Amino acid sequence: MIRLVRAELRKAARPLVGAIALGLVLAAATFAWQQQALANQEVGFVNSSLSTPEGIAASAGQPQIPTCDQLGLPPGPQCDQVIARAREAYQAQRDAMTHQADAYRAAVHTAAVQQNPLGAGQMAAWMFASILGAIAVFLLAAGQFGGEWTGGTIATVLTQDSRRWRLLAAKLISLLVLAEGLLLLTWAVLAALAFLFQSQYSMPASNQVSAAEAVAVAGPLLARSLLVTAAFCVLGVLAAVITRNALGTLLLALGGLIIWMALVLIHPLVYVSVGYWVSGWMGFTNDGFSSGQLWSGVPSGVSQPTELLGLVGLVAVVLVGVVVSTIRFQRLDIAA
Amino acid sequence: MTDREAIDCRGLTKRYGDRLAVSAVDLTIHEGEIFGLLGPNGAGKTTILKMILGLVRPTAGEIFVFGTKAPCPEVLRQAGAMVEKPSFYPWLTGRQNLQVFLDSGPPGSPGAIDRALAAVDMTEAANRRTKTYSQGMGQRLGMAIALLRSPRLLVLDEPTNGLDPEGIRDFRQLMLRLSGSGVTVLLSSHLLSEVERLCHRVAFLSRGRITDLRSVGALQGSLEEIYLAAMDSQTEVAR
Repeated sequence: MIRLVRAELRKAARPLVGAIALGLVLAAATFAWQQQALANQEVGFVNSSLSTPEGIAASAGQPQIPTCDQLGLPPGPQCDQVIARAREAYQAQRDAMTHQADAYRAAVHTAAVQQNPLGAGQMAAWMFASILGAIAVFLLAAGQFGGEWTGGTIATVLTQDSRRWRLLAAKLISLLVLAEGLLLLTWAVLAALAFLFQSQYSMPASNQVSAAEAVAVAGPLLARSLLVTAAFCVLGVLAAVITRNALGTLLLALGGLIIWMALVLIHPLVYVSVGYWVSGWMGFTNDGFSSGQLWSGVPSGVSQPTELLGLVGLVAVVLVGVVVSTIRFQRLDIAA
Repeated sequence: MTDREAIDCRGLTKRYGDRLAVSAVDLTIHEGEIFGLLGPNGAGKTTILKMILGLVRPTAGEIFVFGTKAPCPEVLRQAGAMVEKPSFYPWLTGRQNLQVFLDSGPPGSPGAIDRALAAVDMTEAANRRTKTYSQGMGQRLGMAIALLRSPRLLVLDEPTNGLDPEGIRDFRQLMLRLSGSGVTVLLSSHLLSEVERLCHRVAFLSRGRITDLRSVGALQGSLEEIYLAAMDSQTEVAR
């Protein structure tokens, strides 16, 4: 199996993989830069008393709750209703200000983590667990597996060893290895950029994070992104054995994923949306600035996805995808 | 050539939907034999080769290779193949392509790549990317892939396509040498002269059926007639 995986990795020495790596690095650098710029704007506010609960209360001012006399209404249920609505509106305004302050605080913390080379991996993990990571993995799958049919090499490969499950396993493993290699490359570039960010967007000492804290933030995210990437690899392989060509692999995998993500907008189906699962597993929220926002859009009234639901959903994607791909590939005729 | 069976196909049938590609083919090929499959396009030659190699699943029938029921890893371990137009990874060199295909199956013996390249006279061009290869060079490299594991059985689909006269002569000499050392060769071809000069026996295919099977020595110049008859038969059905 190691020889087979090695053969698959040899095939990856191609321009497509270089182009994917370049695209990912540029995207990561752009995101990171935006994040630093936003944090730089807001760090003053975050460190001021204006962002504390007291400061927010002071900014919001005293609640302007009218009396029944001022409303020209007789005391009673109608007046009480109007007053209750005014109280709710005031509270909603304060909640929004608190929410905004929390979001800025999170953005500044994220940027601070990003300024530590060890913590820079968090952005790479976010990206690989987002639609950008999915696009990268599907492009790899299209080239590395769908391309075997487009290029006509599949027949020659399968005449070397008739055990198709081994080839499928090698494709999956090599895709995962390649994707993780790209993640490490992205991390390395972001780590190098961290020094630039430190000098260009230097933060007050109180906002800076230690190496231990940076690792504590980025480490779990990187580990969790592995399962999401594995799910993308399985979907890419499944699309390849269904369409049996490079372009079809990309279109089916990406189209399918986008439709699957879009289920998040349909209330009863939100719980079976891949976007919901990834958000739960990775701990993405709609707050702050992160690539995780690429999965956002949970309709109001729907609770934040749980970690367990995310884990179960993504493991199910991997298992079902592997079984279906294997059966399909095993039964395929390699016709012209 | 020996009396031992290298390939034994019994009632081999392949149906694609309504279309019958191969119909109840019985075929026995002996060890060390060079056996030719002749027939027009769509006669079922490539489908038979692919079924023997496990690339296409037979709808009915059985295949035994060296006494072992195919498809199975043991069969492919002893076989080398070139099916349809040889395809490679164009961004890799010829040598790198051979390494990829060698690593995709059971390990070959030390020096397998160099020996395969030398056998098809491709040593000098081995370090060039295959996207720069001519059709003939591609055909030679495809042959080198088939020879990588020193196979006991060679399955070759139109092996001389794109080869210049010198390449065809080299190929013929290589096949005769391999056959002399006990390698069984099953090839399909359109080239009557090639089959006539190379094969011990030949089967004529039309509409997925074997219409004639005889030793080349017994043809006595009738090869072209039989082939044309097979073609006519197929053309009539197409009409």
